[in-house]
Amino acid sequence: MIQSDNLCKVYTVKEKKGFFRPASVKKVVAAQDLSLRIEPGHIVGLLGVNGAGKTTTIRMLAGILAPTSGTFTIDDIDGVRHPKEIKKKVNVITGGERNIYWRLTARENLEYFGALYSVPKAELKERIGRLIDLVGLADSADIPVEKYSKGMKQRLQIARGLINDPKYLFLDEPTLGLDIAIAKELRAYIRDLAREHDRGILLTTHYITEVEELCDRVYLINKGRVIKTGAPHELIQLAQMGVGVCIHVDALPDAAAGNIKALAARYDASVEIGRAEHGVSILIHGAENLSTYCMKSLTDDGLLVKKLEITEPKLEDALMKLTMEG
Amino acid sequence: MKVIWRIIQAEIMKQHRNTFHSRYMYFALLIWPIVIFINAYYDFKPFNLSDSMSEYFTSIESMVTFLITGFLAYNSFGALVQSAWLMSFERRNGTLEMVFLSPANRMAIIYGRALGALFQNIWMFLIFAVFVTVYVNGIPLVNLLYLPLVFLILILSAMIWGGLMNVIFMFSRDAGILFNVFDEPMALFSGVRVPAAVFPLWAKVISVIFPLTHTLVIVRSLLIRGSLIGSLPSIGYLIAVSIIMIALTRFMLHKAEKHGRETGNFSFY
Repeated sequence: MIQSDNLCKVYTVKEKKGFFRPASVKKVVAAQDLSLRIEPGHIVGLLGVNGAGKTTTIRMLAGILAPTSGTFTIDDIDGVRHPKEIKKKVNVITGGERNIYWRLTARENLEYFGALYSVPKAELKERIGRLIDLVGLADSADIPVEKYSKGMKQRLQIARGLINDPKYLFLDEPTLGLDIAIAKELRAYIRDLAREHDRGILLTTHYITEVEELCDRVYLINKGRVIKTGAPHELIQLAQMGVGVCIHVDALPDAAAGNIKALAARYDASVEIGRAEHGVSILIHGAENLSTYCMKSLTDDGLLVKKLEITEPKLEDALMKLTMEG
Repeated sequence: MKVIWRIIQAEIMKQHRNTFHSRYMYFALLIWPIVIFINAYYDFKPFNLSDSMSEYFTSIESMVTFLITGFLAYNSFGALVQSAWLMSFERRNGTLEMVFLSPANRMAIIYGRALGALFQNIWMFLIFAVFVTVYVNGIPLVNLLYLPLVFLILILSAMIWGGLMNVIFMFSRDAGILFNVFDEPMALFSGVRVPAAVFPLWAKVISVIFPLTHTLVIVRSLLIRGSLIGSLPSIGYLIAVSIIMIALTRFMLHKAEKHGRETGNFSFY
C-alpha cells in the first residue's frame, strides 16, 4: 500500500527583474500536507485544475522528486529515505510525446528500459511482444519513433510504463492524444490491471468520464492541498448538487401549483413555475429525485403531464463546485 | 556484476542507435580527425627535424607516430566531452528523468554511456591510425604486440574521464561552457601535437591535471620505445588521477541526483 503523510513540496524559483537587476528568489508551494492512500487493486483519481500539484505529487511518489517535508511509504518502504528501493515497484506513464528515444524503434526503446529494470532477457522478450500487441504497435514496432503519430508515441509511453510490471502505476493524463478506440482499450486494461492483477493505480486526468468509469476513490486537490476526498458518487453528494425535475403541463391551476409548492417545501426543494412554449413549466430542484411525487400530485389534480425531464448531478459540475468552494 | 554489465551493454546499444544511427555519421567521424591530423603534419613538415630537441621529432616517421597516437588519444577523450554535452538533449526530451526513474545502477549508466560514445567515435580513426603507423613504419614491428595493452589503457582512462564529464553535464543544462574549458586546453596542454616535456613549467603544471597527458606518455612509450620504464611516473600519476576521478564521479553523481530530486531539474517542460 502507498501511504503518504503531510507531503509538501516547495520550489525555489527565480523571478527576473530586468537585465541589470538581480533576479529575486521566490518560494512556490506546489504541494502541501498531502496525505493519500493507494491500496493494491484500487484505482485512485487525483484531480484538480492545471497547476494544482498533481504532477508534483506523482513525481514525489515515484521517487524522482524529493518532498520538502512529510513522509510516504510504499509497502512499508520509506520512500523519502530509500527512493531507489521504491523505484523497483513503481512506474509512471505521462501524456505527450516526450520521455522516449525518437531515433530508436518501439522495440529498441522497450529493450533499453527493460534492461534498466533488470527484467530477465527471455521474460523481457515475451513482455515486449505482449505490450506491443496491447498498445496496437505490432505493425510499426521496428520503425523509428520519429515516424510515429502523436497517438502512437503516447501508446509507446504506455508500453514503457508497463515494462517493469509495476505493482503501483502512476498515470499522468495517460489518454492525452489517444483516439477513442485506443483510449477505451487502455481504460479496460487499467481496470484489468487493478481488479485482476491487484495493481494500485493513481490516475490524473481531465477527462471526467475516465474518473467515473475507473476510480474507486478521488482526491480533489487545489493549490497543492487536498480539498475533498471520497468515491465519485460521494463527491457529488458532498457538493450538494441535487436533482432537477422539469415538468411541462398545458396549464397549472392555483390549487395544483399550491400542492406542488407544498410538496417542494416538505423536501426542502426549490420550485420555479414559468411559461413554456405551449403551456407551463415547473422546475423543481432538490436533494433527491422528486419526479414520482410531482407526477402523482399533478395526476391527482387531474392534469396531464406533457413532458418530464430529470437532470442528474454530474461529477464534473460537482468537482467544479467543490474546487470553487475549496 | 551481471546486472551492471547488462546496463552498460544497454547504454552502449542505445548510444549506437540514438546517436550513431547513420553511415554518414561514421564518415564524418573519420574525415574530421584525418583533416586535423594532416593539418598538424604539414604544420611540422617544413621544419628541419634533425635539429629537434624532442626524440619524437627526429624523423618524419617518428613525428607521424607521435601525431597519430596523439590524435587517437585526443579523439577518445574529446569525443567523451562532446558526448557528455549531449546530455542536455536528454534532459530536454525527458528521457533523462525516465532513466533516473528506474532503479538501475547509476555508475553503470554513466560509464556505459562513456564507453558507447568512445567505441563509436574512435573505431574508424583507430583503424586509420594503425594503418598509418604500419605504413610509415614509425614503430618497430615487435612493438605492435603492445597494441592490446595500449587499447586497454586508452579505453580505461578515457572511460573514467568520460564518466566524470557525464556527471558534470548532468548537474546543469548550462554546463556547455565546460566544453570550451575542457576541449581545446586539453588538446594544447596534454601534448597531443607538441610533447608536454618541452612546455614551460607553468604549462607543465596544467598538463599534469589532464589524464590525457599521462595516457599519451604511456601509450607513446609502449609503442615507440617498447618499454614502460620511461613512463613510470606517468603510470603513477594516471592511476592516482583515475582513482580521484572515479571517487569524484561517484560523489558528484550522488550530489547531482540529490540536486535533481530537490529541484526537479532532470526534466523541463
